[in-house]
Amino acid sequence: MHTRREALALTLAVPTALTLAACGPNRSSSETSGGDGSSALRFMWWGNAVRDKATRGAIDAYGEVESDLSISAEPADWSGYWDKLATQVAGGDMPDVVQMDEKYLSEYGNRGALLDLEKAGLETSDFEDSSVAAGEVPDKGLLAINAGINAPVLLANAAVFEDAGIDLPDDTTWTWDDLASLAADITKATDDGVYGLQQIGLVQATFQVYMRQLGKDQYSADGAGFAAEDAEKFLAYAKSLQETKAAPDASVSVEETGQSVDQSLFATGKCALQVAWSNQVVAYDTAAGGKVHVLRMPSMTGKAADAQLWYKASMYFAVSAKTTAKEQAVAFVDWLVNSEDAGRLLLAERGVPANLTVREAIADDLTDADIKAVDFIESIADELGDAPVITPQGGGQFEDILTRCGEDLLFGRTDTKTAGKDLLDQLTSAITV
Amino acid sequence: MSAIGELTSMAKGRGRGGVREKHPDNKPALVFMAPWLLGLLGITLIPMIASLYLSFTDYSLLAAPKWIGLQNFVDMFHDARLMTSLKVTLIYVIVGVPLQLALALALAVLLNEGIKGLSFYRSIFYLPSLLGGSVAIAILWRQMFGTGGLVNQIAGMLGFTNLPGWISDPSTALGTIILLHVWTFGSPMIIFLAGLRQIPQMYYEAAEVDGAGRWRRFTAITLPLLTPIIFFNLVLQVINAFQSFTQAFVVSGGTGGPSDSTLFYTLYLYQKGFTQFDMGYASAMAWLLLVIVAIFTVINFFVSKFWVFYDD
Repeated sequence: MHTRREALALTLAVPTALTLAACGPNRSSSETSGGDGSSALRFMWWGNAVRDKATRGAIDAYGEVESDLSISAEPADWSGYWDKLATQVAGGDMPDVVQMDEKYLSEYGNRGALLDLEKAGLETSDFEDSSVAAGEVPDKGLLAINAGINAPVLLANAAVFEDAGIDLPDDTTWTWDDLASLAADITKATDDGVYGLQQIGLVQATFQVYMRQLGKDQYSADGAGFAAEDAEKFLAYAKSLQETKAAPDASVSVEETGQSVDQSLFATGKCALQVAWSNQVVAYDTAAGGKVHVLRMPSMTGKAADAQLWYKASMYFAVSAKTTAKEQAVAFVDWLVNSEDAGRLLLAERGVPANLTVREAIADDLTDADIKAVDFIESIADELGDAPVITPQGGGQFEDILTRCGEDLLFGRTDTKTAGKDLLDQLTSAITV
Repeated sequence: MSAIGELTSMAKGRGRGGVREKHPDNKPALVFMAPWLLGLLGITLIPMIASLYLSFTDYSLLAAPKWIGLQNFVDMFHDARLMTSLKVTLIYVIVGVPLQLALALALAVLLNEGIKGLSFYRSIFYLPSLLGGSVAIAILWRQMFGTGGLVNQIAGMLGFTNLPGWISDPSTALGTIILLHVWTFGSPMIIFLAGLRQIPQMYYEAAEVDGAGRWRRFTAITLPLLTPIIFFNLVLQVINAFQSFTQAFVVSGGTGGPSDSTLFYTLYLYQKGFTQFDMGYASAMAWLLLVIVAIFTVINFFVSKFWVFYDD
């Protein structure tokens, strides 16, 4: 019936996995060049429905400023964005203007993929000084311009606090211990399946705040900015949250890490406190029915001035170093960050505008939720710590590393000492290129 | 499905081993082959050669590749996550494939009993194979096996409480994905069905006359005569299983978590290449995978001498 030769022949249809690693650039569906005479730009960003709509609106409005320029919009999801951008750069097909994140700025910048905007004549005189510096890569120049400022915040869902019969805390005096016991009280006072606090041990922003309050930081100029003992302290705190039931058990926490805003425990009223970035206030506030209060992170000393918060560029705009339409691309970015018209369309969705003139001009157009974020940013202005150093190459992996080490600990597969050491070791090997 | 067509034509002894006539005019053939040929060159062969070259380089995707000789392959020996990913993948292959084949064979034998509405059942059982590798099913799996998912709700009604989130607990996450793999038993099942049809009825009739029972007929006739098909399915499914990617990617959200418990080899390869800017290393990993799959296939063929029965 069947011969050996035939069976052999059939099994030769094999190695498709090889092509996985070598597949070419992810060609975008939209047209790349208008061709004759009129120039065209490609603009890629990641975002959500609100941002996509506002950004498309801004692109349309720019059509009136520069009528013979066509800009093709290439919105993407955060999760697919970086794969797509990396393959496009590899294929020599990078969009002219891209949205950039601090985690990957030196990754792209140090490899020469981004244009020096200062040399290209981008206007930054209306910007808050530190917010421009946030886009500078050492020895390479201003490779990206701040598209909005944010800061780490702790969001409180007032509805859950009410259910628990517990008052909102005073965020200018609270400590990490206060936070832990408050969260444990809320868990106790509410139904099963409702928690006081999300497992913040798996969240990068919390880690960085905690390190800064220990007098360290996530990175120093030479690499990792903390010692294994520091990471251990942080992880021990996270573990204690789980043990006192202030935060959910490991399984629920793991599911929570991949969750979208509207599916999150916090937005669905199953968690009272959640760490976020201030530009996400709008999204969470909308999902949680407008009941969100924006709080400062706690401090070790109970003084807001010691909380060591900082202004982060929530994202940037950057221009490809290989763009064929350099002037047009820079002019477009210039308009995005400096024009009041653009500001009124984009509002504070990418963070509070770093351009002070624009920030003032849009004040009347902001929604209630926007105002919560803007007020927070302004209220911490006098309490800020030093600006952190920029994430080094390889630092984009930090969140994955923290998640892995945190999960090992929360599931009881390691102790805090090992988890702290693993965290430091893995980060060190990731950023040593 | 092409494998089945191949198989039937093969079993009927047509199209092979005939007289080789010389056809001077091969052009039409080439034209008809062109789409496949272009695909083979453009999507398989050329990228393979490129990846072989890249495996000897330090290539970040963002800058030009730099030749570093065997460094990537040397680095693999010190890569703890690579070892984890190999372990995860091996467990998946060694547990998942036999389970899947056993289920496929069992159902094929049942369906071959000549029940009414065979084509309906065949389609129903084949359905998971069409869907199983898809993103939608992986997302559905994630929901079903979550802490508050359907599985735990049903178990809760039956009185089991305090169950873990199957997907989010490192001790059960891989098992859940293996279950998803086993569930996609459709294509080996169809191949088994085709194979069962090839077994001459007279063997069974003779055995029945001799008083052989159901089980005896299965072990003495069906199994031995089906061994080439089992072997074929085994080789193919082992190769497939080594390359599994979608399920793990979607179920773990691309992380291979929790705690790297679902870090499949291909998933780690993807992370290295596309999120850690180390395409050179990822290419080297791809070639290591080819070698591993080749070794497994060679072992399979070698061992087959001792258990596969060819009727020729």
